[in-house]
Formats: sequence, C-alpha cells, structure tokens
Amino acid sequence: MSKKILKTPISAQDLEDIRIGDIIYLTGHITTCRDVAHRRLIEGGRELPVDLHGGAIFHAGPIVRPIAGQDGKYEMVSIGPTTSMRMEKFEEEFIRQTGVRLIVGKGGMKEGTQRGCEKYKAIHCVFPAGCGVLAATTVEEIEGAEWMDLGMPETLWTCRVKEFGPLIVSIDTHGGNLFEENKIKFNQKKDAACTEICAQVGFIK
Amino acid sequence: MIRPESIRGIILNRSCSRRRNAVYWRRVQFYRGTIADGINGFFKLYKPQFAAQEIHITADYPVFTGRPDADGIEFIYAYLRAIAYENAFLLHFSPANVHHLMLGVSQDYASCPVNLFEPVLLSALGLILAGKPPRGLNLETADLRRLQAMLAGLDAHEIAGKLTGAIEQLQTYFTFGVQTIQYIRMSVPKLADNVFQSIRLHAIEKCFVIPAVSDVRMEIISDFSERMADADFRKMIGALQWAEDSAQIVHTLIKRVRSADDMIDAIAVLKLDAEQIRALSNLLPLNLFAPLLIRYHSDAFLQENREHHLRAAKMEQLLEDGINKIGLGPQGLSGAASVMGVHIENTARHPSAIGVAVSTGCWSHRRGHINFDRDLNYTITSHKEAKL
Repeated sequence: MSKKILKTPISAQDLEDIRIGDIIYLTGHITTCRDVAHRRLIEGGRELPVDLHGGAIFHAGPIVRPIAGQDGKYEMVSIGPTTSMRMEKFEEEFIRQTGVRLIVGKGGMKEGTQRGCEKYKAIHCVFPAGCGVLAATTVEEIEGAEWMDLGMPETLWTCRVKEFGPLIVSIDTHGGNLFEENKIKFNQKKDAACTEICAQVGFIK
Repeated sequence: MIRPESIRGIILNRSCSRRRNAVYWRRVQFYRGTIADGINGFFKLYKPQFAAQEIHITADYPVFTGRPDADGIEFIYAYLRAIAYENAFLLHFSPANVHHLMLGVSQDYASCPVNLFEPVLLSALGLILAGKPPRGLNLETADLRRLQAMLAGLDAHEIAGKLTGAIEQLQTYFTFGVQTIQYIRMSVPKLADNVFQSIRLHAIEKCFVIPAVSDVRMEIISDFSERMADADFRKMIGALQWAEDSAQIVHTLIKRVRSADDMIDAIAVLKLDAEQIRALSNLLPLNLFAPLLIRYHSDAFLQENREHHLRAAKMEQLLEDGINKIGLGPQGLSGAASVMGVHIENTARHPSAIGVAVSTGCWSHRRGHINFDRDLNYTITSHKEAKL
C-alpha cells in the first residue's frame, strides 16, 4: 500500500477517498491553533491572522527556540498534540469560517466537528501523543508566527512540514467518527467486565 | 509583532506605578502583593513578542468590575485600567478616613482580599443622599435610618436612579477624570443591585458602612508552642532511635514534641515501621500528616502494605484484567492492553467526599527526592546529576 500524502492547499476532492482509520501524512503548511485562538475567533469575533482556506491546523502548544543570529526566526523543538475535545464547542463554526480542511489533535471530537467535517469537507486526525520530538523533525521551517502576545504555546506557528505524520483519521467527510464508534463497542464490553468484577467484590460495603 | 495592547499595558503600568503607591494601599496586603509582586513582577519578565502566558501573575486584588474576560496582555491591560480608575477615585479621600471605613467593613481587612472602591464609593454616595458632605466617609446610625426610609420599597432600577443622581452631586465636591467618572457610572447597576439586596435582607449597614475607630486585633493563639532546644531534641531522637518498645516511641513523640517543626524533623529522622506510622497517622493533626506521607512513600512500604490487604490486592488484579478486556488500547484507538498495572492505596477522607485523581496521555509524573536538614544542607537521593 502506498503512503497517502496530502498536500496543502487541500481540496474537498482530495479528502473524498479518505476513511476513518486510514493513516495519512501531510506535506505543506500546518498552523498550530488551540484554545485561545479558537476563542478569539468565535467568541471574540476577531479575524484569524492566518489564511486557512484549504489549510491545516494542529491542536498543539509547541516548544520553539529562537535561532541564534537570525532575528525573529525560530526553530521547532517539540510539537506534540493537545486534547482536541476542548476545541469541540468551537470547531464546527471554526471550519465554516476558516475553510480549514485538516485538523490534527489528540483524542476524538464529537457531533459538532463531525457535522462541520461532513458539511464543509474537512477531516480530523490524531497524531500519536507523546511523540512531539518526532513531529518536530518533520518541520522544515517555521514560516510565520501570529498572536505572539499569547505566549509560546498559544501562538499561531505556521510550519512548513514534510511528510508530517502518521496521522490517524478519526473523522472523515462522510460522517464517520472513529472514537465515537469505538466508544459504543467499548461500552458494551465494559458492561460485561463490570458484571464479572462486581460478582467477586461483595466484601465492599 | 508587538500588539498595541502590549504597549498600552506597559505605559499604563509605568504611569500608574507612582500614584498607586498612595499610603492606604500599602496597608492592604493583597493589593500590595498584586501590584508589587504580581503586576510589576510580570512586567519585569514580560517580553511582549514572546512568552506572555508562561508568566504567572497573581491578580488577587479584586477590582469592583470583576475579573476581566480576556487573556494574555489584554487581561493585564483591562485589569490595570480598572485599578487605575479605582485608584484615581480613592485618591480624593484621606488615607485615614479610608482606613477607618475599611475597619468598619472588617477588622482585618488589610489581610483580606477585599475591594476598597465599593465601600468608599457607597459611603460617599450614602452621605450625599443623607444630605451631608461626602469627604469624611463618616456615616452614622441616624444616616442609615434615613437611607433605609428613603430606599426601602424601591427596586434595583429605582435605586440605580438615586445613586446616579448622587454621583452627579458628587462631582460638585470632586473633579474626576473623564474615564474615571465613566468607570464610576458603569458601576451603578452592580452597586444598585448590592444595595437592593442588602435592604431586602435588612442589612443596609453591610453596604453603607459605618467607620470603626479602633484598630484592635484579635490575637490568634497558635496550636504549637516553641521548638525544643537543639540539645534536648538530639537527646530525644537519640533515645528513640535505640528504643525497643514500638508503642513507646509513638507515645514519646506525641507527649514530648510540642512544635510542628520539631515533629516534621522527628518524622524525617526516625525510621518508623508500618505499625508506628499507622498509629501516628491517627494521632497527628492533618498538617503533620503530609510530612509523614512524604517520608514514608517508598515502594518497600507499599509492598508491605499490599500483603496486609489481600482483598485490595485481589481487586487490583480484577480491575487490571477487567479494564484490559474493554479493549480501549493505546490512545483509545483499541487494542489488547489498556493499563500496565492497577494499584489501590488507602487514605483518610471526609465522609462526604471521595477524592479522584485522573492523569492520562501527555501527563508525565516526574518526581525527585531531596532531604534538607535544619541548616539547609541537602542530599538529593533520587537524581545523581541534579544540583541546587
């Protein structure tokens, strides 16, 4: 099986064949975008200083360091995902307003994002947690930094990446949602496991 | 790259720093802590183009308009603006008058996180409504009766009307800056609501405060008396280290040690066994329970405990197997193994509350262990490379 590599700008058609559970990679640009950036756009009604049409965002608070001798230039040290669920209540509207096509984070997201992904053609992927340094090696250059007043983790860092991944698709453009579908299976197994344990711990008063 | 709010914040901080050192602020611990250590400390470390949210500030002093709904430098800016306007208003009154008024609010207001602006403004407005000059902040019981008669039966909106009228009169006594008076007017709905509620609860004196003159403080009696003399302490520890009777050691500690610091030291030095720890943990007050836990947390001790608790051990295994059967897998993406082990510890709790701690995913629990002696000499037992 050949490696599926998305390139920015991403079109709706590029996402057509991708299904939940697929593993893909990204080449092009991805911008870190997390809590406060979402709040400023949706709650504050402020325009995002980065054009995300056909673009990608990463729910992440990276560690960057200035490059010695190059004023205003930074290099990526570690860029691991943060929990996507905190952005859930903003994400549908975020996708609508920004035209973003690829959202990368950690853990699943719910109905809102699922609706947004289906309606406006975008996908949500997870990058394996705890591998921030590996992710940083795929960052070729940090090309932009906006809203730096929010500090290192919340700044919108626009990175040029090469084969950034593996990205596990958790929500596709056809209404599929890997984590939500898994949850149903897990819950069924959980009930069985609970019954089995409860029968043996009668000593708990 | 620098946002305009950043620059405005820095300028505002500088321009305010002289005026906000006005005398009565200095008494108020939380104000001092916020301004001197919190805000100034923030600006000392603050690089506008970078690293804003990494710097913690302690904005403990409550401004009347509440915590600004903003992040980063915008929070600091909005917060400083509120402080600047409240300060500008308060500077029209003498420090002594404000101090006595605040003593009326609470004898220990200086060490409480209380706002100064609200009681002072309400006192001034109350005096005007009672037909007196506002400068002295000296409401009396008779004035409160008059205010009660005037305001009882009005709704919050009508009270707001009265307060707004009083603010107009207030300006015949003082000259406020444009933005300060805007801030004062903006406060009216919240003030009116507070007054309305206080009248409804027959507690008008909670809003319109009568100043107190005396400054007498209640003495707090400490539970712990002074430390033992060093020689005595060493002698006791020496004797306990050789003592054979397990119960005797606990008994001696409880009887002889009178200060919290000595108890912490004793726990750190003595090698207690599980039984003694159990006995001590039942006898010690809560604040001394923590050092006991810190000293005796090693795996060997847990292992010993595990054998004492066969049922807990059985449950550990049941839970481990059961959780793995669910099939969550790494990162919730399904798989055979979800946990690498389950450990059950027990500890005391309040009957009405069950403590739960959850740490998942990116949380890495890093720990180190350092022993300090009473001269601050230290040994790091967990990390060879580390130096202080």
